[in-house]
Parts: sequence; C-alpha cells; structure tokens
Amino acid sequence: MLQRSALPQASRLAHHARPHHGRGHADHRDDPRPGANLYVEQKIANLGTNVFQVARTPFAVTDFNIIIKALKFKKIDVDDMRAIATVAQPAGKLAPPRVPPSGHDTATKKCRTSASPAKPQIWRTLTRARWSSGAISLPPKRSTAPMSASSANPFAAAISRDGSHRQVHSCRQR
Amino acid sequence: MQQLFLGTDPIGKSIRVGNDEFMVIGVMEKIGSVLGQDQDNFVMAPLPVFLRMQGIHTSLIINVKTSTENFELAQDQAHLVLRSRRHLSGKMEDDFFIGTKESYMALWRSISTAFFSVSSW
Repeated sequence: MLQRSALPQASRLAHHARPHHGRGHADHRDDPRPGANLYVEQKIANLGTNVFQVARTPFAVTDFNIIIKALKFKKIDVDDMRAIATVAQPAGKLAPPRVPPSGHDTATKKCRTSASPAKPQIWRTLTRARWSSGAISLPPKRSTAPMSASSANPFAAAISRDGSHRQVHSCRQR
Repeated sequence: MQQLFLGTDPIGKSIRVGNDEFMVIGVMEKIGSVLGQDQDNFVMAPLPVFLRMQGIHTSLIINVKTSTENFELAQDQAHLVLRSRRHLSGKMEDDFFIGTKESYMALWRSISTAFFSVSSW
C-alpha cells in the first residue's frame, strides 16, 4: 500500500491508461511509451488521425477570460457545417451536405437561392486567395471553357466542377 | 447499454433519450472514463434529430476528417470559409477555434512542463 501511494502521479495515470479500449487508437495498442503523455494522447486528445475540430470555444484553455470572450462569439451553426462540408468534400470523409444547389436552374429557367453554403461566395474567396498568393493568374472570361481544376487546390476543383458560379453570375446579370 | 439491457443484444430495441424514442442500430466499443468522467454515456443521433431536440441555435463542434496529404490544406480552407461567412476582415481575430490532436498535446506539454519543473524545484 505504501509502495502504491509512493508511485509518482504519472506512473499511476499510465497504469490506468494501459488497458484502453476506444475509438481510433488501435494503432497505439502496443505503444510501449509510459506515462501521462500517453494517457493524454489516447484518452483526452483522441480525435483520430487527420481530424481537426472546429468549435466556437477553445478546446482546452488555462485562462477563464478566454472562455468568457469565446461565449460571445457567433455560434457555429448548420450552415457553417454545410459550408465546410462543401469545401472539404473532396477530402472525402465528411458527410455530403444536403443543400439545394444555388444558382440558375437550367431545367426550370429560374434562379435558385439558398441560405447556404453560398458556393459562389466561397469560390470567389478561394479564387481571390489563390490569386493574391500568386498561385493563379486572373481567371479567364466566363464565356470560355469551364475553369480547370488546379492540382494545387483540390477543393476549388470540386466547387468549379459543376459550374455553379457561372450559373449564378448569369442569374445576377438578369 | 449494459445497464439498460442487462447483457441482451440491444440492436433493434428502443431507448428513450429525452422525450424521443430511438431504435438502437449499433453500439460503440467501451471507452472507459477520462479524469473521472464516464466517456461511454452518449448517443449518436442524426443531425436533424439532434437539432430538433436541442434547437437550431445550438453551437456545433465540427470534426473534419481529411486525407493525410490534404490535412493542412483542409484546415486552411475551413478557416478561410468560416472567416468569409463571418465577414471577418484581415485585421479581425477569428471568432472560432480550429484544433487538432497536436494542439491538445502542445497544451498538455506546456502544462506538464511547468508542473514538473515546479515540483522538481
């Protein structure tokens, strides 16, 4: 009993962390590293491989004022999720958004509008960012062939693939 | 699930969550507790159902899984899209947070380094 209580805290945490059963860390099953670092990595920061998290409040902070400040931020709603899903869909692991496409419906000859994700706006922002970084030159005229997918930006390729930005442009011209 | 169904197969049976009744279509592997908090006490429900239960004004936490080669790029794109949607100009700070496993670990390392340096001092 005396020996158990004399163990350092990190060793006790590692003792609890060893027989882990959980999601997404099967590759750490035989990890020989002891200590609290392993515990935090497998139990607390267990997001999985190649996963990032978007939230309104920070995930772990030491300053309570940051939490107070973050609670006043705008909430992350479904439209934000759909917008991220739209650009992240080529990454292949987010559920496809159930959003009616914006722009000009060629079948009904009507202008469709939806609250989100505002594909033309996203496309303009991405294009502007790529243009300002020098990755691309000025975009070609819209009457020419559809914009080709750039290998440097796979997300822009998916957005421009259906040509929705051009359809909305023609819609606004009316 | 172990307490609710007492060792029987819960698949296909119904449980009540709040005021709604759900049919169990799968169970997760047991996780255990983290810092004294049980991590197995959760349900996964379709997003529209969750929004109906919690209200559409609930702030969401979005987990995005990407491929390895697109990981940094996807973060940049999500950052860009959210800034665009929130009309944040170049000088304005982000009103959201993007975190990864490495950010957790970096925070833990800073805390543990300070803790162990103080305890050894």
